[in-house]
Amino acid sequence: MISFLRFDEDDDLSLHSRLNQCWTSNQPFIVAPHSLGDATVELLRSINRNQEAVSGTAFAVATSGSTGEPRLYFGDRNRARALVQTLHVVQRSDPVTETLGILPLSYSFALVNQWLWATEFGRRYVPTNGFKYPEILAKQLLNTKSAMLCLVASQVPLIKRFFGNRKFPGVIRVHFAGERFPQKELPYIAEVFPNATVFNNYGCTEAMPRLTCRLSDDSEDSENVGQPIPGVRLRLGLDGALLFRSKYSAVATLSDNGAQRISDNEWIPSGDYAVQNSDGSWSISGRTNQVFKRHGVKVSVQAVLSHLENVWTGQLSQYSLYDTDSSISYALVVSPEPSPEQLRSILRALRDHFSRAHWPLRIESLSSIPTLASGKIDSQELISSNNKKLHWRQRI
Amino acid sequence: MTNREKLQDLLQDILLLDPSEFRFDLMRDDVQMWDSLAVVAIAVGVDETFGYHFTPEEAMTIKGVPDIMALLETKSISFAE
Repeated sequence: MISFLRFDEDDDLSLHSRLNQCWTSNQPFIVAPHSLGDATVELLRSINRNQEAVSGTAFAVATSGSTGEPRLYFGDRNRARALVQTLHVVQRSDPVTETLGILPLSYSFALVNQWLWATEFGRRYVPTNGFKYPEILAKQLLNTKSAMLCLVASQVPLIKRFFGNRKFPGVIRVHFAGERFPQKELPYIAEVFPNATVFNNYGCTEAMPRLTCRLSDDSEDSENVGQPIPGVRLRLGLDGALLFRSKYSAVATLSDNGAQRISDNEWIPSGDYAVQNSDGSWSISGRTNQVFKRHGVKVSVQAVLSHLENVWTGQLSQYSLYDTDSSISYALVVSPEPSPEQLRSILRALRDHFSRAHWPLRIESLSSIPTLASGKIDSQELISSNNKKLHWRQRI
Repeated sequence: MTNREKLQDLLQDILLLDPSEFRFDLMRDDVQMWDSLAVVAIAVGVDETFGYHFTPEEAMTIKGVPDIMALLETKSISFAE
């Protein structure tokens, strides 16, 4: 009997109790976002038709609302336990006595790095409603002692908006993962969490989820994700895509294409392009679905976004778009709405540092970038939103 | 908005020029971003803004802003100040 646990921002203690029960009694379970798309619901139903593929696995994580291509990743209890043992050392978690759950537990980052770590090491897991009720969250953060947080970069603007210059000295570890590391926000993060050691974590759900980790001070480059953690090997494929082998990885996947076992000898694509630095650390150069050839030029959307961070202090996002010749490109979405001078700064930065092939087809704005319960950008909503305001477009 | 202002806006937009960088005597060689793709974009933009689509031969002869204005003047689109 498989338990389905659907998490959102709400602090549902009965759900946490069921999760604890499933884990301690070796019952299989699936964690999923509360608001599932029809395709994901259908995928979950299909699990009954794929019992053989998933037998012997312990738990599964349902993704991905952001791309609209649902998939289940099956984990193994012993692998997950081994990973949190490794993370405990790498992330220097011994002094941490509790962890506040700001991300929903349907997100493998929160599930493993927080809930499972707390369960295995006898630390307190404190559920919160996240930024749904910021005042309550502020009180929880003020009252915490020796706490660890797991965040995604797109939550930093929320911290700024709701907490301003408040300080939370009880937080001693802050982990970022899931999006580009907010390197430029580190001075602010250091003010809000004055006693916190900050880490940049990199991984993917296939890795369940961790591959690399670094201290924030180890690099000034937001793309630098540090060294592989013990038990993980990285290499590049022929096309420059990052591949990994991990003793902690997912053991099977289930998608519309059916169930697939993942063997230990398999090099698994992480979904990113990367380069290895001279000190052995790795830098991510773009999502494999965000690097493309346009007019014969290799374009990395992430490289463009990283550069624009120098001239735009608001949020930056993008979605794929085809031009009139059906060649792939992208639209840049900024938030909040830029002033004419700010727009000129963005355009000037594009002109001065990139050839026309790298420029977005459109520059649009939204009052805020839509996010999923996990805090990650909601790509589907970003594409379909009718509230986007057009500021500039290429005429080809 | 006059036709001069419309053309200025269009070219600033396509070539990503600041208003202070634009001149009506700008030549293609003066602007690094005036590449072959920009030529196509200018043709599309002129069609959208002034309702005239350059023939490929006309587009090839354009060496600067004065050429665009001169070509459009022959189509009764005036750029008189």
